[in-house]
Amino acid sequence: MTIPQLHYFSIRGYGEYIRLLFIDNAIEFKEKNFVPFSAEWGQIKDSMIFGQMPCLKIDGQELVQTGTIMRHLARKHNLNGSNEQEATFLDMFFEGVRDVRQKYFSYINDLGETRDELVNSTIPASLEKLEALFNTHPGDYIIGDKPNYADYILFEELDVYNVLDKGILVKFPALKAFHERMWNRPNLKGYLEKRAADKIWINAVEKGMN
Amino acid sequence: MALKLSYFQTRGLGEPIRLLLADKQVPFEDHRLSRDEWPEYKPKMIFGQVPCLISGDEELVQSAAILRHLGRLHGLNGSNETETKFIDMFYEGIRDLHNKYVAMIYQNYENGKEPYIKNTLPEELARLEKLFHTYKNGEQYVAGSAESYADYVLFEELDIHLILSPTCLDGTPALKKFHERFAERPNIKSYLNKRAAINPAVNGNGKQ
Repeated sequence: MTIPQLHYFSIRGYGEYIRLLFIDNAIEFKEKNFVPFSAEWGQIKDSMIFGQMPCLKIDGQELVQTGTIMRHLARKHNLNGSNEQEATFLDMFFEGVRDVRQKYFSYINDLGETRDELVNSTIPASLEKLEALFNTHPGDYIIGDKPNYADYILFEELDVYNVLDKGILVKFPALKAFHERMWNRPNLKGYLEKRAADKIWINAVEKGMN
Repeated sequence: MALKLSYFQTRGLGEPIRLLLADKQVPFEDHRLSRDEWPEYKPKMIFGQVPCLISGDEELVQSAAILRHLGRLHGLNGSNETETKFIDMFYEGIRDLHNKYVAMIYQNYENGKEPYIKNTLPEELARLEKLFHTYKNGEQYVAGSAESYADYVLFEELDIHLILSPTCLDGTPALKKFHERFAERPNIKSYLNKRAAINPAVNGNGKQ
């Protein structure tokens, strides 16, 4: 089997979900990371199916769209729940998280809310819904006792909001405990500590790092 | 199992789901919320949003999750992993276009409509046209000879863009022919005829 190659930017962004999935499951992968706004990226942008990354080169094909890549890897590596009901629930959970990310993304790009609105109103209101949904299923993860693909996405989102405001998870005990649990997973811990120490940007701009 | 789809009276994100269910002749209650009813329903929804599909005691929200679920349930998800991931990718590409459309409609219709039709739309359609040629030279469906959930989304996306700009598909002949062909599917045709009598708005703010 050839080693999958992830093409993305030298930031966390949407590519980070994919990296976390690979690292936690000890799946070998290669990376080609482009500097955001660089000439090098400009040269290959049009060769991407939708002019975007992440792009995963896998099994002789190019796969783009973050959600598509995550769901494909989930099916391939048994990270998609064990039946249709679970697969749908994970999908719904992911989509709910994605909506919050879009609001965050708008803030980062100065197209949406102020930091105060985002941190004190929008994100807590969304986390309240996610906390309730998280508690509908028993176990340490979204469903049951092992992470599925949506857990990597939820974890990264919580971590991104936690970087913005260290106290943001305090009112959501289930999500807070989940965030700590993921952080301490043996395959992730070292990676996450290095990532924090290196201050790898979350976005293509420095905004969001504090 | 009885199905109930709750959405607004508009086409919006509910319409591809309605099209899929109508084409596959899956009986469902087409529950359309009026503006007055929405404040009562909103807090009851998992993320405060519709569409919401109730199937027995299961409550599903998020249009993409609903579509992919129905896709798996009704044989509209490809016949192998290669097709499944392609359908997923195609759908996500259409969705990006729809997000740009929605941003223009709701935030910048007056000033943004012309540049959207002139610049954004042709570029996005050209990418979809190219990708549509991957299977069967673009002469059938998104993933070849069998329809998938992405075809309903593609059809609706092209249809609302033809309302915005009647000539917008002239530069993308495969997509144009697909739209014409899909509208002639007997169950779709009969649904579209019924819909024409009601003539629902495409978007919540009445702009289209």
